[in-house]
Amino acid sequence: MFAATGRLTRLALATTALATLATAASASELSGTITVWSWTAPADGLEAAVAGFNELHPGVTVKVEDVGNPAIWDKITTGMAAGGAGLADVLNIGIDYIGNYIETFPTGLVNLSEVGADDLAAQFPSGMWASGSSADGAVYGIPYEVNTSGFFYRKDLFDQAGIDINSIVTWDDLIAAGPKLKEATGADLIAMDKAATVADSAGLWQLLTNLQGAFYFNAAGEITMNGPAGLRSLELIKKANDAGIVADIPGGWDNFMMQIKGQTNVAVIPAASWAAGVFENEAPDMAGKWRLRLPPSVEAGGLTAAISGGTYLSVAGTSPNKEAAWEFVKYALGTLEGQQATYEGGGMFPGFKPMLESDGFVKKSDYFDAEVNKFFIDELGQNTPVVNYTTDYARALKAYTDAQTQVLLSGADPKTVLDEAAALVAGQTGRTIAAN
Amino acid sequence: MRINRSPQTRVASLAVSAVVAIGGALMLAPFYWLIVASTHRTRDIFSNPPNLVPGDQLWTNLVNLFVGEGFGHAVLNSTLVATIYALLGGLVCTAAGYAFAKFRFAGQGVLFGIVLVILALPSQVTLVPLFQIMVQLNWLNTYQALILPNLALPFGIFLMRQTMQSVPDELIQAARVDGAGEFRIFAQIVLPTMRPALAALGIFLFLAQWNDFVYPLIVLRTSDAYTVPVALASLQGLSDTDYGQLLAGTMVSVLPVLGLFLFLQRHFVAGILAGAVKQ
Amino acid sequence: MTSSKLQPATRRRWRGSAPRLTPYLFLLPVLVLFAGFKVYPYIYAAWLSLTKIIKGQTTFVGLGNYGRLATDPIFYKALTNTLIILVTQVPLMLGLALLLAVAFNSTLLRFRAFWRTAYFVPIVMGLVAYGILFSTLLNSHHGLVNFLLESVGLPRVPWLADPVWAKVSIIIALTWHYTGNSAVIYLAQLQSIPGELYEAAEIDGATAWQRFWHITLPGLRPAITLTVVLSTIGTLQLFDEPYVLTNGGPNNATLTIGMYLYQNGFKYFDFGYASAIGYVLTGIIGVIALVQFHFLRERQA
Repeated sequence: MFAATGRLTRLALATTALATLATAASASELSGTITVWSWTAPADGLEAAVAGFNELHPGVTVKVEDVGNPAIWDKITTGMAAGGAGLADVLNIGIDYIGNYIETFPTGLVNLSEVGADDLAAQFPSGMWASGSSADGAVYGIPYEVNTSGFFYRKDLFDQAGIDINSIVTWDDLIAAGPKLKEATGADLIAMDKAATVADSAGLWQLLTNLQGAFYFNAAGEITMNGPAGLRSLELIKKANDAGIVADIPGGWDNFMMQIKGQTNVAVIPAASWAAGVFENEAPDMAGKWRLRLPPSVEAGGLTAAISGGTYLSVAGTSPNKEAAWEFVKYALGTLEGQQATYEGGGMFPGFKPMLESDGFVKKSDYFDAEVNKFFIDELGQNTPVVNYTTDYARALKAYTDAQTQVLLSGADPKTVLDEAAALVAGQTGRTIAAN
Repeated sequence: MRINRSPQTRVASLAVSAVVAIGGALMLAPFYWLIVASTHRTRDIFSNPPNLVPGDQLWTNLVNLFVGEGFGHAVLNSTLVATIYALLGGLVCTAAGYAFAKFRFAGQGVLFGIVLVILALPSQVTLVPLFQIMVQLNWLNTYQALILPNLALPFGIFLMRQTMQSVPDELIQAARVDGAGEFRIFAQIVLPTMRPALAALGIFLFLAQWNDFVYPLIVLRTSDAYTVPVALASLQGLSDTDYGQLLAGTMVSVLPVLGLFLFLQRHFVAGILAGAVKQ
Repeated sequence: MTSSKLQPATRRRWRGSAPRLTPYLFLLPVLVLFAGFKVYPYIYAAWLSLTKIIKGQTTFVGLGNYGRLATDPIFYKALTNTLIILVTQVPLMLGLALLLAVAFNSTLLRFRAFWRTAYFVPIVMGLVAYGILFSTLLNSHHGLVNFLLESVGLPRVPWLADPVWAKVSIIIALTWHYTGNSAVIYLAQLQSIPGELYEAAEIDGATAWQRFWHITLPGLRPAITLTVVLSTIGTLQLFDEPYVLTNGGPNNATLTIGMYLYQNGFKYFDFGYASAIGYVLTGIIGVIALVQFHFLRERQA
């Protein structure tokens, strides 16, 4: 009974939304105030786009509120759970949250396909685009920040150990080089938060699994974390750990800082593309020591690219100014002019292809002695498979990190713990575990 | 004032002082770290070994914070809201505590049970419906949304119920026999004997409002209405948090509460000394 | 209540007793505020605990969430962790707070005003600073605490990586954070113990220990009841410390009920299940509080 009335309401709401948006699209003059919720740098980026937007739509007042991250998630989630009450018009939402918002709160976000968002699809990386859409392809978020996996390594340490970084093609090669590197330099190959003291301690496993074209779930939403790719990833991690080349560094910004400053001696940091700017700003003394390359593949000839998080802009389903909100999103992310202002204001790596191809986007960095953005554009060009976060990413992440902790700290068998983790997620969510 | 101390007392005094001082140093050491951290830029805060020497960025951090982020608004908002909350809440909780401690009435057990249940259910569970009430009342972004819902703080009611038990019944009875009205007894006889507890309650209420984070985060809409914890949270991002600024803000946010504590703490010790003087 | 029942009671009123309505008048603001801001949220949460979001629709599932909870191994793990922290940390902290309050109140302690404030500082420290701070202190590689341990020849301690030590870390952080809180409550209550009692005891030749045992402790009983019950509730709802220090790890060794509730509500968006956890927690707290009240009252008699 509940389900039936709910579906009717949902249908009615969707129809009304459609009608309002359709009439608005034909109206030439937009007015009113829209509020945007974001945090720090992305908020600065959107703020920078307001002036240009107002030239096109002088009647619209745009207010960008810097809510902070992670604070913004509690704020959006509460509004969603209260039926969309009190949400801002435009919401900046992480890739790890958007799938769950779309599925759990079907009227929470506006279906942007109904106002022509599909026209933008070809202009954005397909994998990232798909993660902002529902299972049936309706678009709920336009990619704002698109992170790929950067592979940062200490050239000085590799040189000192006499290891040619170009000879390292696969993760097996890398792990094999670890002991030699440690013997020569005293540095660990890589750091991991073995006890998983922060939520995102699964970064390396997700990267390795992505490089094999897999994730916690497949496109059908079945659990694949304990499939061959996931198992291979955890076995690689275990191999490195057993070789004594993985430093146990708790997560958190302080420890990341110490790694990039070279105070915690590690030779490799796989981090998302946003980290490039952090290296330059926070560890200027290390200029020339860090280098950037594409990550090694898991199997020779395999992918050397992965999406490593990102964010979207969405329009709240309860927004009284949906048209203006959508126009702002479209301007800030889907026009070259708007995207340029946004990028200059906040520095978020964009997904909009005309922007990536625009003059001056690829610049040489003296720090890394490389054209940094070129690496990430190359990665986006590799057509990475769609990463299906589903409604249950947070649960799967939790189950996985617990499994990883058992492997790293007590030497548990990767297959056993992954199977247990998959079974736990299946039990919690009612999802089936994919047949291998 | 004590002048004549026996040698034994001196030894005892030294021993007690030493133990308390060691513990106190452990309590304060983190605060020292916080002060040092707020004098650095992010990259110098996190280093190995830990950076324990003050830097020269305090002024920059404070300027960024107060001029760049308008942190002054937040300090003002928090001070105002927490002060009003502590005064009104103090009255409400004290009156309720008095009723529970010094009267026997029908429904007393049930009502106190309700206070405990409200204390027991985690606030995360009631956040969404409380937010709905604020939306319905059109109270988002207002002071009353911060002050009223938790004014009857179960903790405060409980605290006053317990401390009121030490007020002698004979005192109240005697006043009644003298024909004093119930509210006069409360205001002129009971309250003056409760100064230490009232001071403690005032601090706790102020602190509860001052430190509250998730609920204000949800109901406040614009940065000029933010309270201190909400403003501090807005300084956090994924990859670009200015920790120098954030920790300077944390340090600043500690100061008003410490000021209030210093101001009120004399009342914790007033009792015995006052009693001694009276004799 | 019927008027016939009221009648004799009114007649029985003797000079010096309060009108029947008085306590209700004192409670009136609380009743109004509870009615306005608590009744709906509590009923809403109770109803929510009987629902589940299925394909975007809030659907009534009866006691389904409670049934699931009864067989949820992670919930039991969280419950066990929480109870372990409860039975170790609360006595430790309250014992320390009691001694501190006595010291704060004693003329034996020099610079009392300063130390009282020192112990109070941690309560005010914001959560973010708190998190960074303890991560800096307890980091097993370059944390200050291990640095000190090594410098006196002791082995490094895996503060956050070992299931037992991670709990110890939480207990240390909690004790650091809240001892001053309880000490302030004790200190306030100490003021209500008449000084004459101590003077009389001293004249009778009572030792310091006897005075503490026979005057201070009984005088503090209402405050002890308060802090025991409040600390118990606070620990059963424990969230901040595991959230900023360990994220509930390693492998759920420091997962608390409060964290599990938050994860279900605000990470998994399963508010129905989170509400059910909240109400079960309330039930547990209710039972424990009743036992504590009973126990403490009995000793009082």
